[in-house]
Amino acid sequence: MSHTTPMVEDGPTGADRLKPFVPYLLVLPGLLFVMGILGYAVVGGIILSLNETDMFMNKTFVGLKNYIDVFADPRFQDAMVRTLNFVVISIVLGIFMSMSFALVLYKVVRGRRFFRGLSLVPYFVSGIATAVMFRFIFTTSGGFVNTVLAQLGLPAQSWLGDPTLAFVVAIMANCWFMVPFASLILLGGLQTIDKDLYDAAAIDGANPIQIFFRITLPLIKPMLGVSLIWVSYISFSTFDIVLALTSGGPLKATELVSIYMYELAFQQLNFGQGAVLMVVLLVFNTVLSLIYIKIFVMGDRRHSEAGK
Amino acid sequence: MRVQESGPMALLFQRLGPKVLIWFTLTFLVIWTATPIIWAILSSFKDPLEIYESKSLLPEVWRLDAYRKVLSMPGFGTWLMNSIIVTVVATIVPLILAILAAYGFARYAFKFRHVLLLLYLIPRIIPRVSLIVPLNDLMSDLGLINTYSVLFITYIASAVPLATWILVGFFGSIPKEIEESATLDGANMWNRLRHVMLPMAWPGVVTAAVLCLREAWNEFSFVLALVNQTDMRTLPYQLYMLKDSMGIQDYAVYNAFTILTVLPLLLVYLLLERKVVDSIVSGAVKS
Amino acid sequence: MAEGYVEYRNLRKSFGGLEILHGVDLTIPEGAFAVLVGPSGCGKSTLLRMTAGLENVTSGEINIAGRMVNNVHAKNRGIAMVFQSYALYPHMSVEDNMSFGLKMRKTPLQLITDRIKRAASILKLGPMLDRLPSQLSGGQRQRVAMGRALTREPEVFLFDEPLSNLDAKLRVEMRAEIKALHQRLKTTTIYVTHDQIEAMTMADLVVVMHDGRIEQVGEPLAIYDRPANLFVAEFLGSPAMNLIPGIIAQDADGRVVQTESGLRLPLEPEANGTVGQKVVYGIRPEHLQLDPAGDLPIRLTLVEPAGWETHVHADLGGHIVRMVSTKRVAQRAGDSTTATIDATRAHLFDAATGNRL
Repeated sequence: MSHTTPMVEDGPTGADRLKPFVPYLLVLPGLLFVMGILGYAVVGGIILSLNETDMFMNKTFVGLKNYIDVFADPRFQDAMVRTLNFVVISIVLGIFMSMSFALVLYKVVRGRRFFRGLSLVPYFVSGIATAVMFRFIFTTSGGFVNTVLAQLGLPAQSWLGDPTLAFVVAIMANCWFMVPFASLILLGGLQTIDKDLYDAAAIDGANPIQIFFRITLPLIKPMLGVSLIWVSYISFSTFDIVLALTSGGPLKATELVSIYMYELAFQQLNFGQGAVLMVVLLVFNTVLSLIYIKIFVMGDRRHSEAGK
Repeated sequence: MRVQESGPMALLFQRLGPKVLIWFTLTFLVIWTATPIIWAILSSFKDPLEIYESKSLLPEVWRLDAYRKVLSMPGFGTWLMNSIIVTVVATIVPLILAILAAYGFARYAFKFRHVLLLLYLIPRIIPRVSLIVPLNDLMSDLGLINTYSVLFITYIASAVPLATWILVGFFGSIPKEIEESATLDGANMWNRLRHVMLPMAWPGVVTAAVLCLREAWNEFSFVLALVNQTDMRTLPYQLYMLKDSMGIQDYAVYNAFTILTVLPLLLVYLLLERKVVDSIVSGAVKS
Repeated sequence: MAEGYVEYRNLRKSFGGLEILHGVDLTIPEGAFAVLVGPSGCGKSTLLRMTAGLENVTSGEINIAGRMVNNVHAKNRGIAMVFQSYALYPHMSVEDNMSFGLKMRKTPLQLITDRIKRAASILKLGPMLDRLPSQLSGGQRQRVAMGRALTREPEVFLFDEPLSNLDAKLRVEMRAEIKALHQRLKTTTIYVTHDQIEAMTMADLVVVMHDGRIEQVGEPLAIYDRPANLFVAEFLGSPAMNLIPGIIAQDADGRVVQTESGLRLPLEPEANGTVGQKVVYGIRPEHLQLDPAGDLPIRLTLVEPAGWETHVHADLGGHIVRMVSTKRVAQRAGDSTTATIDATRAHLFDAATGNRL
């Protein structure tokens, strides 16, 4: 029985049956509040995207003009391509790191609690602080990496001044922040696997790599799905880390959609076009989440029900 | 195949390979996780000029100057208070709303239960940053820019779904018989919540509280979009603004400020680390 | 007849469109130990939960102590319940578990202390009062659950399969303990179980349920000796009664039941039923005995010595029958021999309705 299955049709106990409105009283305040604010913002944003705004926020309805303008804007197209690159590389690197971390956290015996506790620390560091810390790791004079290079007698590099290197550093900062949570989710998946299965597979002659791909991976599919959703969600909507790390530079090398959105609305005061980018972010995230849910959660449910 | 695999080198690899791999990855994990923080701490104790020279990893002299400078910034007390106020409100209010909602979802069957539960999930798919454009527009119209209220309501709205989802799982895993037993013992709904459900779901409540705390303390997008007065800034916002507000970049001050904004939350986390990590690992917390 | 202490009148329960109790009428006298027994899904737990007030009544009436309680809140019905999982509050000490109900009712502190002391001494819980449930063994938890019910001093005790989480040895011990407790307190008790041995050993009144209906109510041995229908005959008794279909026929010595394979099973002269009627012939394993001088040819298929008794499976004219003998059995599986039936202990059921003739 699923743990969210309610008890009986009429509430926690038959004794409470005379008050059928009770669950709504419990559930609705929070929901109305959330939908009131966030729903209002989403709907407001969609309406805003159909309007042209001037500096004094006077709106004129222009239909899809903002969309046409934005999609034809080469700066947006670049930002979109860059964001997709950023997301794909972040997902691949992030999931690889999360899986590696999860596996060692699963395997390690001595100091297990310490390592697990430590691994989650970046999750509690704000995006801005993450960015600032990474700035001082990679800053040209006084950065950790260049200090180490100097100690080794190697020349300093301009990590954040080079477009390609800056892009890489942004991805690293993003991974630093998002990998811990994803790896703990995967660790949770690993812990649900019956250890006898590994013994059985070893007796059947499978090597560690085969065991990982044939036993471990299929069994943690739902958790893999959850961590993929998390990693994609974070990467797609990365904003504060990149804003504080590079402000989109150098030479727009790290200008992601979210950064360009901020620039359009808050610097150029073009709220209509900014709202278009909001819709783009929303649609991408929703579609991606739905795809993952369909592949991992639904697929797995069908699988496990067939197995019963 | 068999013969090759059992050659001396392969045998050595089979014996030592996994161990070496584990230790390598573990070492990487520790260095990767700790370096940015430790570097920020080390730098915060250095002299600004010493940092520029990139000579040594450790400070020549451990100086507290940077911390003194941060604490004597004219607005620091205000920013700290702002952060504390919004964080406390944006933790307690969502927790209360989420406890009620999660109890309703976990224990009652009612019309539209599934739909309403999904509606609670949707806000978690919406990237918070995407809302800054319309929120700024809407809240300007309402005259709420630069107020605590606007921070409260936006922070609360984004924290409620998170806390609700965590608590639905924890409440749902408490056997219904225990609550029935409490009903026979004469406990009404409030008493059951207070004396049975909350104590039993305590790790979940703590986890939800810590994660709400985290979201509020670290929140940046909303405050960026909804606040533009210096005395309404929170610590992360001010940390971001430091970049522009300092003519010559005093790296030591920068790092000290960073450490001071990160430290309070890290202390809370370290205090409650066991419950939080266990909750996430047990799958009770999903984004 | 005296007014029953717990009474059900045409009680029905539906979940969604599915009716799972089809009109239960039952009277449980004051001080009785009534056991509701039946296979899982028969509605016995639902009946108990409705009595407790944890499920509402679809139609019909529940009366406790002469009061209609359909719309009385669970906490005001004067009942206490012991759950299958014990449902102890894991975060409270044994003492707090036992006092929670009294505290919720704003009972004076002195009275709470007295009641806990009394319950603890009855159930020998004294040394455990400060412990948490997780620090107790299964049997101890069971006693705490009973202690919690005891402190409430209810008018009716309800037990929902309380022993099913215990191992076999402990179950026998707790069975005796619960029975002894009842003999001491004389509180009306309704006890739900799927275990017919618990029903037989503990009950003053056995209520056999099946598919949302009551099949038979009575004292344990009365039901055992005169099961009202095929279901009860088969459900009560272990090993189960042998049931062999046949037709009543006239023999030289009187009526017999003739099976399809031509076997003739003896009937006592007073037996009901008319010649030519299709029936099911029932005989309990202990009334079918190996007997070298017997007239029923059998071939043993399995011999299970269990110490003080021996279970034997045998082929009797194409039917596998079970026998229980308190004598040691020398024959082995595969041996052919003969058996006799104690005709006075034979049961006859109508083949069409399944009811006792």
